[in-house]
Amino acid sequence: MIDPLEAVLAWCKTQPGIIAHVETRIAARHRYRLAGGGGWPDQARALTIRAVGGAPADVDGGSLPLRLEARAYGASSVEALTVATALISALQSRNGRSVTATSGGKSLLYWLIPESSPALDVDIDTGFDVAIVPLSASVALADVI
Amino acid sequence: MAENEPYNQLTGVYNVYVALPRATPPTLPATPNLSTWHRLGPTDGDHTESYAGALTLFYDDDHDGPVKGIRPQQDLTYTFSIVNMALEQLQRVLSRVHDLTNAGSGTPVTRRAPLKRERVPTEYALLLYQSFGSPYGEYPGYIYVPRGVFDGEPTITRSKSARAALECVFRPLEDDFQTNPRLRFGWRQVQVS
Repeated sequence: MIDPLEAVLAWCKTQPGIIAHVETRIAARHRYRLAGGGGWPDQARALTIRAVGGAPADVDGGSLPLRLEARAYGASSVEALTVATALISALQSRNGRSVTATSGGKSLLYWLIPESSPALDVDIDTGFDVAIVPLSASVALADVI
Repeated sequence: MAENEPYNQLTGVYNVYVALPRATPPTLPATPNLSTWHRLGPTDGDHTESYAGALTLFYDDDHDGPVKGIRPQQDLTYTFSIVNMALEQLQRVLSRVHDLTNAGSGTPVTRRAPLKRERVPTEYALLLYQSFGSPYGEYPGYIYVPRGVFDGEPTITRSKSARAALECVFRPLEDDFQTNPRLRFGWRQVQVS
């Protein structure tokens, strides 16, 4: 069984335009200031993507539609928006499906698109600048051959 | 357990190419040969493929339902919208690229494209290619039309808040050079394994 958020994050981790900014700091939840240490350095650019509800469910077709919120962190609003732009640019280069390896097997990502323009904000948890990009995705529930 | 069925569902749009009629489509898994095929694009929005040609149903006195269906006429239409306003792109859709002239000589270089469309439109071959366009796996697929024309009455809108786009409507024509009569509009070909 495919974890759809893992599939989306796994795809982001393969994108050179995104990795150039955030390296390995792509996760579902931020890892700044972890209690035991060893998390992301303060002010380092990073990208988190979490699922927010609201996409119409697919009741017929074996796919999982998702509404997602990507949060691009940076040391300043300019840096945060740079990471968000790198993400949007990678999404614009997509055409059609892609296959990415995940822990549950090979995942088939039907689409991953930005739903609206980015918004700048200040993250409540960390106090860092963050650029928020709403996304829409659809992932096949079954792993593919 | 890994399955093949999720591949059956296709998403994404095509890469659109035109060439002279009956140009050779790529031999999969190769990509289209750019010395033969000219890429139209980038495109904006959805691409559509529409079939027209309703059946005529025949009834007889022994039955109250229809006993036979015949299709006397059929049409096929491909639509997409290109946002590349280079004159070479517009000319291929609106008339033909040969009418593009360099206006004047020396510097600066200017180029001119006529506004009137041709009375007998230039015929093209159309290739709609997608590198992951096969419903059987992570393989390419394409739609190939050996002969057709650009139809449509497009409206190009210029706006302060949107980019100009040219809606293209491509209509396959019967290509009698195809030896198999079923292939006279062209075909869909995908890699299976």
